[in-house]
Amino acid sequence: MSNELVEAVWTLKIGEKAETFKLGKIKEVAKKAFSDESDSYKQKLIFALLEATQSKDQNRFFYLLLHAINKPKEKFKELCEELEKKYDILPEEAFIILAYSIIIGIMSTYRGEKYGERN
Amino acid sequence: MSKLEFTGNWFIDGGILGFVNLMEEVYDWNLEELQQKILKDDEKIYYGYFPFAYLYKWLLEKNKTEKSKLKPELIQKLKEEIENNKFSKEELFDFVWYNFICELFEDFFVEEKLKLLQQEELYNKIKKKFNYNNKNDFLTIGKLKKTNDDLKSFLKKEWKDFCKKQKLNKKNSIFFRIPIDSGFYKNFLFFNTSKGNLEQKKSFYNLISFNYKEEKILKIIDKTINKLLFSEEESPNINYTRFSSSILKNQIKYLFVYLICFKYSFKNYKNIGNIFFYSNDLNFCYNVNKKLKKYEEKIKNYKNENEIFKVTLDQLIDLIFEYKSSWFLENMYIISYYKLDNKSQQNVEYIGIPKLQASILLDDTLRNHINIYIQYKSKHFKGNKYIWILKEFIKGQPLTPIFLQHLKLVLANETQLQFSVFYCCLIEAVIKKLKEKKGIFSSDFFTQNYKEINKEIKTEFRTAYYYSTQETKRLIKDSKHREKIAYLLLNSLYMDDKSNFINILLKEINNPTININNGFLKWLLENIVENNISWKEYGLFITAGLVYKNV
Repeated sequence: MSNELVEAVWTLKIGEKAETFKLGKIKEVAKKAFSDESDSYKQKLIFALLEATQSKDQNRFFYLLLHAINKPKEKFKELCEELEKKYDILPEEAFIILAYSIIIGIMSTYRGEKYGERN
Repeated sequence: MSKLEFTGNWFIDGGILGFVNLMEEVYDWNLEELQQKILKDDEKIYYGYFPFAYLYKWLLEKNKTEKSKLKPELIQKLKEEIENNKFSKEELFDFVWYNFICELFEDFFVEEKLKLLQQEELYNKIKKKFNYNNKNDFLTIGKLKKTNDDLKSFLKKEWKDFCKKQKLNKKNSIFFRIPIDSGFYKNFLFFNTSKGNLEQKKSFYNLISFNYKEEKILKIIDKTINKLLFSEEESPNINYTRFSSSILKNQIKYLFVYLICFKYSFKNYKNIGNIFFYSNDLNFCYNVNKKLKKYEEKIKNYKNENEIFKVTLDQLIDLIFEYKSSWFLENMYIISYYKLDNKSQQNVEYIGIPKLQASILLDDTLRNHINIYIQYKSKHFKGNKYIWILKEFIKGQPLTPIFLQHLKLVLANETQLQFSVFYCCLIEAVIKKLKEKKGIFSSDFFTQNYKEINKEIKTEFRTAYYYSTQETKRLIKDSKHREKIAYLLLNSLYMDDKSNFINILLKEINNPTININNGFLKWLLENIVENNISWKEYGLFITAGLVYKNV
C-alpha cells in the first residue's frame, strides 16, 4: 500500500526482557547464503522444509536448515549469526512467518532457464 | 413566517418532505412555488390548502384511484375561492371544512352508511350506535332501507343539507362524521371513530394551530404520532417522550402538520416496501426523491427487486455531481420499511453511507465494479441465489465470505467468475487495513485523504492482477492442474489456515527450471506471509486468478 518497507516484527517477552525480531531481514540473508548452490539441491531442500513447516514441526525444520548450512563457508556466516539471535522455541505464528521468509528467500535464488529457451 | 427548512431531526424532516410531496401531488406546486406561497401568506397554506389536501390524499389512497377521477374540479374551485377572498384563519378553516371537505366526502359518506345498512345485523346496531334521536328521521331510514336508490338519494340530501346549514348539535354530529380512519395513526385525534363531525373539525384545527392546551395528546411526541418512536409509557427516559412538545412550538410553528405527513415522504415500491432517501438538506432531499419518482415506472418493469438500488444509485451520483459535493453522499441515509402500523413494524432499516464507502463509491470505475450481482448459493438453494454486492458494501458487511462461496460455485462449474471480484477483493483488503488502525481520532483521521485510497487500489490492482493471473499461469501451465490447486487453496481459505495456503502454493511453484519472478515472491511474502490482517483477501485474489479463464 504505502511505499514504506513492510517488515513483520515479532516481539518476544521473557520476564522483563523484550526482544524484537525483524523477520523481513532473514529473507535477504537466506537469499545471500544460498545463491551459489545448485538448483536441484535447493529444490529438494525446499520441499523438505515445506513439509516440516506444514506439520509445524520446528525441530525438523531447524534440523534440516542447520544441516544444510553446517559448512565452514563464508556465505553461511551471516545466516548463522541471524539464526543465533532468533533461534528459540518460537510461538507458532512467529515460526511460520520465519520459516516462510527463509523458504521464499531460498526460492528467489533459482537461476532457472531464460525465457523462451525451454517450455 | 420563514420558509421551510430542515431541522436536522430525521422524523421531523421526513414530515416536512412529506408535506411538500403532499402539496405537490394535490396542487401541482413544486418546492419553490410552495416556499414563495408560504413566505407570502402561510395561514392560507396551512389552514386553507393543507386540510383539504390531506383528506383528499387520504381518499385517493383509500379508493386507490387517480387524481383525475376524484372530483378534480374541487381543487380548482378551492384555489380560486382562497385566492379571491379574505378570511381570518378560523373562518378560512371553517369555510374549507364545510364547503370543500364535506363536499369531497359526500359519495364516500353515502357508501359507508349503505355498507352499514346493507347488513341486517348491523342495522340494529346502528340504532344504538348513532344517537340519532329524531325518531321520524330514523323511521324514514328504516322504510327506505328496502330500496337502495331511494336511501342513497336520501342520504345525499341529508349530507347536502348539513353542508348548507353548517350547523350541528352534539347529537347528530356523530351521524355526520367524516368516515376516515387510519391503520397508522389509529385513534389519533380526528381518526378516532368516536368523534363526530364537530369534534373532528375542532381537533384538526387544534392540530394545525398546535394547540396543546386543548388537545393533550399534542403535548407529547411518541409512538402515537410516529410508529418508529417509542411509546411514552414503555420508555419514559428516552428523549422526545416525557417532555412537553410546547418547547418546540416557538421553533416549529406547525410541527404536527409535518408529523402527520411523515408517511408521505416514503415512496412505495413493489416487493421492496417503502423507501425514503434522507439527507440534511431539503432541496437536495426533495430533488433526489423527486427524481426517483420519475424512475418509478422504469423500476416497475424490472423483475429483480434489488434493481431499484442500482437505478437509484446512478441517479444519486448524477445529482451529487450536479451539486459537486461528496458531502451529500456521506450524509445520506436510506430509510425503508416494509410494513408499519399500530401493531407491526416490518423490516425497518436505517442505512447510512459511511465516509470511507462514500469516497470509494464516488469513483466511477470502482463503483461499476462493486455494482454487481453474483451468485453465492448453489442451484439447489430455494430462494434468492444472487446477492447485490453494493448493498452489502454500503451496509459495511464483510464481502469475503460471499466471494468464497462464489468461488466455490465457480469451481463446481455452476457459474462464471466475474472480473469484478478481483476489484472487490482489493477494496475489501484496503478497508480492512484501514480499520485496523486503531482510534477514531488518530493522526490518520486528519492526514489520511480518503480520495487517495482510490488511486492506491487502482495501482495495486495492476500488480496483483498480473501476478495472480499471468505469473501463476506461467508457473502452472496445465489448466486442469490449476483448478485442482485452486480447490486446495480454497479449502485452506475456508479453514482460515494461512500456513497451509502458502505451503500448497510454494510447493507448486517450487520448480528451478522456471525462472520465478522475484517480485512475485516478494509480493507473496508481504501480502500473505507477513500480513495477518488481510491475507485472506489476497489469497482469494490468487485463487480467483488461477481459475480465471479470460486471460
